[in-house]
Amino acid sequence: MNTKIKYILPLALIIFFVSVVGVNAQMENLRAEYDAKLASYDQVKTDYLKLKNLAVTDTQRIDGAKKVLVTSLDSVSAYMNMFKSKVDVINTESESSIGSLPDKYIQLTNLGKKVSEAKNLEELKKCLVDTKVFWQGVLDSCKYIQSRYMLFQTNESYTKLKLVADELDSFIDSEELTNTKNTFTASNTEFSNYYSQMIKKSEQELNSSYPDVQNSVTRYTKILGDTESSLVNVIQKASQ
Amino acid sequence: MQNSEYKTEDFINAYKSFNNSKKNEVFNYYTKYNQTDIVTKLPAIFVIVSSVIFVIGGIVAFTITQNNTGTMIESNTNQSNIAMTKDEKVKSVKLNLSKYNNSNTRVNDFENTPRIELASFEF
Repeated sequence: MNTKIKYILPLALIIFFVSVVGVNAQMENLRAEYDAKLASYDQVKTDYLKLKNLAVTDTQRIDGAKKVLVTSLDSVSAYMNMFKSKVDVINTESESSIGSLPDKYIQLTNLGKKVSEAKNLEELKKCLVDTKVFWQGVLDSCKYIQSRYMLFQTNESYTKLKLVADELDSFIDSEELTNTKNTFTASNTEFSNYYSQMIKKSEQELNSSYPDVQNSVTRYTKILGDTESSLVNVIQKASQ
Repeated sequence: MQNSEYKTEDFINAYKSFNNSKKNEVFNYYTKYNQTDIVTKLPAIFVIVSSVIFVIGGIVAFTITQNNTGTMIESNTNQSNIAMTKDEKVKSVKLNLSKYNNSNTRVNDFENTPRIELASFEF
């Protein structure tokens, strides 16, 4: 084995392991942050509904309503943060980037400003309507991001596994390997066509095919898993 | 502390000042004193030496693991141009497979996220 590779490979593996652990930890932190914001929003909303039923002044209701809106926008922001890291991965590594989420952050800031400047309940009601529309938009964008992320990861897995299968094929002559590789290559071609077709779709188009994307990704992931198992079998036989 | 106070020069002076019958006694004391000094340092020496052996052993074991136990076939005398054996290639593919992890493809991330309930809320 090349002397440089002998030292670089373990180092690369350590960096890969640390980065995987780091990314997972980051996602867990974002999820915990979102859960906390959501719990806080539910509490503020419940408090406001109690306040609404009591005979209270408009000032108290305005303050309460502002608190509800600010907390809901905080929760939306925490929700968007969970998908921001996925957008970053796609925009860094995929040939087709996503631009919708940064626009949403600008809208979020504007909405926050509008809420803090609202002087009466009527203005706050308008803010609530805008927040609902905005939230629906965020959900649509995140659904699109999720589809793109699943497709991107599946594509990455196909690329990596293809390299492994080719490497194995270069020095092992086995019928099982040939059959596995043929099935895998056919599936890879089919997925590549599907992938290039899907990433061209707009947010609205891809969201309308969301169940299809989910089913396809599940099916292709199963094929990847089966191929991996077959390759492990081939390796075990070759090691004996 | 005692050792720094008790200098060789002092020993020589003391040795010179004693008569022959006392010389052996002084000499024995000096030898015993220095032995004690070494003994007090032994645990530290042991820890340092064993640490060095452990580190070197770790590096050697790591290098051996990265190399192959099978026979290396040298295509020529140039070390950077060594052909891989079949065993090495199998190990290399095993490494690649450990990097590949299809469980990263999570299908239910979006569906499983709890949502902010705004739809039915009114001021």
